[in-house]
Amino acid sequence: MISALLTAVVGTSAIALLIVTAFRTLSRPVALGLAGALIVGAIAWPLSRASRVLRESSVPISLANVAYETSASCARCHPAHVRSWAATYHRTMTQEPHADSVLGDFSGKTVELEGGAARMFEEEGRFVMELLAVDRTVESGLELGRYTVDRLVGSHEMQVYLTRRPDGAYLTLPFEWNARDRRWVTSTGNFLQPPPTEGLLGHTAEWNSNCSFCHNTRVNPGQRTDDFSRIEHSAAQRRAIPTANTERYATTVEELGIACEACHGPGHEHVTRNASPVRRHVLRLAGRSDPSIVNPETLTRAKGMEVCGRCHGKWFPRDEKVEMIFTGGEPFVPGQSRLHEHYEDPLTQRLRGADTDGYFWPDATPRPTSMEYQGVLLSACHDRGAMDCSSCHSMHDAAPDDQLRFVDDPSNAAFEDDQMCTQCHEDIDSAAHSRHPAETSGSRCASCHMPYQTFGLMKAVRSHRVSIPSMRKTERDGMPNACTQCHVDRPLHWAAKRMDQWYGTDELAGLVERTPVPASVVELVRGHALTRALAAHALGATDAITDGDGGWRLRILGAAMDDPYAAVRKLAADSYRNLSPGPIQFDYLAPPATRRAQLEALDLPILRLPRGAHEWSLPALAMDRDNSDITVLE
Amino acid sequence: MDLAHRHTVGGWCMLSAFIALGLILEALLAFKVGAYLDEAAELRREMWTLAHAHGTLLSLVHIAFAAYVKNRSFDAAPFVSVALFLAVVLMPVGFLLAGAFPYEGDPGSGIWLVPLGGVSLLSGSVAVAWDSLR
Repeated sequence: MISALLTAVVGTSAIALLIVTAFRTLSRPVALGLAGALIVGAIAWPLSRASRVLRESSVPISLANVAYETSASCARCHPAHVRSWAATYHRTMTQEPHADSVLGDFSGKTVELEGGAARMFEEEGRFVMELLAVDRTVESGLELGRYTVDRLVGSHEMQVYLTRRPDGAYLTLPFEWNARDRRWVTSTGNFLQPPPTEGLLGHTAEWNSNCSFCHNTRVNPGQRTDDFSRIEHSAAQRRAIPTANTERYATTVEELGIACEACHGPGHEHVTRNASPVRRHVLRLAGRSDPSIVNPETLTRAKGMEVCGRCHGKWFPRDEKVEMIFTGGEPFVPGQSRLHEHYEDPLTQRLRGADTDGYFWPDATPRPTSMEYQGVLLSACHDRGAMDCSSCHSMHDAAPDDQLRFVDDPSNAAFEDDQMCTQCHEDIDSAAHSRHPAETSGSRCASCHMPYQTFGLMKAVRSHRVSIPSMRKTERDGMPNACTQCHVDRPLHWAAKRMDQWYGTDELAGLVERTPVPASVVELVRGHALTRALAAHALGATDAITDGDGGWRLRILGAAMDDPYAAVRKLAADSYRNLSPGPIQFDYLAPPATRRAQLEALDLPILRLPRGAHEWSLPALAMDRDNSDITVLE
Repeated sequence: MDLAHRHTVGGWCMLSAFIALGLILEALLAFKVGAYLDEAAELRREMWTLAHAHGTLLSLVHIAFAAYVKNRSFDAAPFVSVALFLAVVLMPVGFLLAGAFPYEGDPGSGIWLVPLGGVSLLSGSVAVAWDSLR
């Protein structure tokens, strides 16, 4: 502001001096011309323009039909914001295949998994996946043969490869790259779901009407209306339908990946209006927000959360909107329309009595990672407090991993800083409140209130439903609680007793069992597949607390590595590797006979449960195992 | 002090000042000063470099104008003198201010002094050109 005032004073004085001198020394017509030009050009026109800018900036603009630009346009005026976005995994969510974007090993090796085989190689600058074998006959758009990688999804945890068919459909190829483990996996072995019955190719999906919406900026699947009416849409979402070479999709994407306009709305009007430097300066000096673009920070909390929640939440097109969305494109514009106008979320479906087990624990806590929005909505911190997505995450000044605010060391995004919570709970002394020594993981807010109750991308993830630990729910629903997720050697009633003593709850009275077997073991042996996977993760966590050397965990994890669910085997093997003193040879996707041979070679220790719990109680627990089919719908 | 002398003195003084500014910018480079060299300071570097360049060149214009008016008298000379002094102040100061307080992707408000200085310089130049044609 000082600079602006100084500029105004110096500029006006200069104009006055120039005009006075012109009248003194130049001929009158020339002086008049110069004075007129200066007064009109340097004073009158900018002032009238400024007044117009201030007037129009207070009028809301509908962005529903505004055209999109790309991040390249944004970078001209917002280079720092574009740079910070470019460092995130949002930018690289969908990419064209090239040497810098392809993470998978395309060196020509043959990969055999789950009865299927493929060779990945480069040929004339293209990346090719050659399917050599499948173990079952399945309905799919893919048969054995060579497929060029035409597009890819993901760059952080997983990378999925797509091939384009002549009818315009991009199909997911059945082998995916796990970037975390640097290995090939199958799409069927990459989710928490019952052992595959459809075969290796059975999971092939069409990108155009599935993944494209959330992994790109404003997508129009462009599904042909006649094709759409021929195929029942939910089936179309799940499975590729083999067709002739007639065009089924004319898909358009405004920008590959999740770019600026995915959160800020279409930018053409903003770019056009702000071509005027007067407008840009006037808006900044006046501190006005620009109605020609969406700024999530200035939206109402509900609208702001929907900017993130569109993709970090689950939504299904309303019946009457399905055709419009698949043939005409994404109707949601951040900050303009509301998601519920076009979509229905699983919480609503649950209230209606629909089967939503794939999405929720029985108490409605979300199960998959992709439902952070619904988790936050269900949190007391949101309901009775001020929490929204930006309370903990920052899109433009945080490390790419998790994009957390307040992380002291940006290179270590795993560090969980209590400042996120103490923004509101400023009076809480975390050590006194948690009854755990300060600076230990037990004293961290997230350790108790955001336990690992969520699963996605083949790992356990903190729940975004901020909650109070409940042993009752663990016993009743198999939903793990924060206490016994860390104290993996303690039984459930021990944690309930502590809760009751410290916080005056009534947890112990609500428990039916008083088994001395650690809750983590009960969950791993008796729970359903999701409970088992999360227990397997807890048992090998670096901050898990256990009696003695904790060697018993290796034995129990070794048993879990023979689980029918690939996800449980994977998390158990990851935990085993965390605890094992040396490297082990175990592939959770290898055929059963191979896996068992690998397990036998591990030379697992004899099982001795901690704290007087009896090993002979485990077979009875195993007999009671919840063998119901569990699918976590990421 | 006549016009020629005034512009000779002014030109050399300002040339000294803007050469000194150049040395300061070199020092910022040499000592790797973040406020000048960081990625986010790209616009500041550009603005201050332009301030240095414009100031130095306009100082030379003053010296050239001193030589021009030394042996020649013309009616518009006082106007040209004022116009050139305004230009040599407004343009570099505008760039300096714009670089000192930039917005993201846009120079600060001081940038508005630059076109004003440009108009001033242009009107002075046209007056000299007109006189030299006669």
